[in-house]
Amino acid sequence: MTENNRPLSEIDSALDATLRRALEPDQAAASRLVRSALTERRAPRPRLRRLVTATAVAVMAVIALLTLELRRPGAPPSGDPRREMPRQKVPARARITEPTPASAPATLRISNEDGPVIVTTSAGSKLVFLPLVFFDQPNPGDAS
Amino acid sequence: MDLEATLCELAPRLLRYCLGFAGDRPRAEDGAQEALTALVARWRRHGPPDSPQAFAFTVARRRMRRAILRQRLLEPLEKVLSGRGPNPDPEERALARADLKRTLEALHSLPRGHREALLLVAAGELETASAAKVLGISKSALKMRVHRARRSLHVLLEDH
Repeated sequence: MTENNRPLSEIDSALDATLRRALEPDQAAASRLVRSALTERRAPRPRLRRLVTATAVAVMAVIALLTLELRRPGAPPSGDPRREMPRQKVPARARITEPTPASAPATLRISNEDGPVIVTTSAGSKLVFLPLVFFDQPNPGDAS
Repeated sequence: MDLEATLCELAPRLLRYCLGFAGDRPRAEDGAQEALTALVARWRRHGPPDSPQAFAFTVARRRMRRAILRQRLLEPLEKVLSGRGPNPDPEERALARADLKRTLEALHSLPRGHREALLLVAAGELETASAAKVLGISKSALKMRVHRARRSLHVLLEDH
């Protein structure tokens, strides 16, 4: 493969050389680095800074754990009971629209989970459960 | 393997790599210094690593990434606190050499993975196996990244 009649390897080499030339450091800087490295002049990380960092991480971990614990279902509410207590749907009352023979066993067949629930008995009768009302658990302070 | 000879051979390559990574000389020198010092410490305590250049470039890469992240987080604050004016300081003027500035701009417009691969191979003069080890990728993935980076850089530098 060539580009402008030059093999790609030649183009790549020329590009690499251009890059190295542009980024070339001065020799004094390189020598200085070698001398410093040989004397192992590495800035030690302050113990105090490490201690502070470790403490901060531990404190944040504890706060995160406490927050998760408080938000766990069943945990005692911390504020407004309406915000803390989980919402529970109480099933609607059933309303039988057609009488069924007492001797016929019922076969439950649910035709629509979200809308009215229709139960068809083996005798052919149908029971329609209408979602009359879904309500949350009553609040202790509310009037019933 | 002689420690001092290895350091003398690695130092300019590390500086080139760090300069391409960071874009400014002080940060590049810090990164290269950290890498060489870590290599010396490792060599003296546990003997020479299997691949001193892979070791040094891995440390340099890690330091530079941290330095870049710190720069991004702290730069707005530093500008406010230092009250830097519009006049460039001597170092900025020196860096405004057309070739270096143009090359750095072109490099920094490449995707990060491609840029790192190209810097390791072209500026750091690492072999494919060592460069792949530093980046934690396969040799074929490295070759692909280097190839794409070269193509893009070639186009960018020709356009200027």
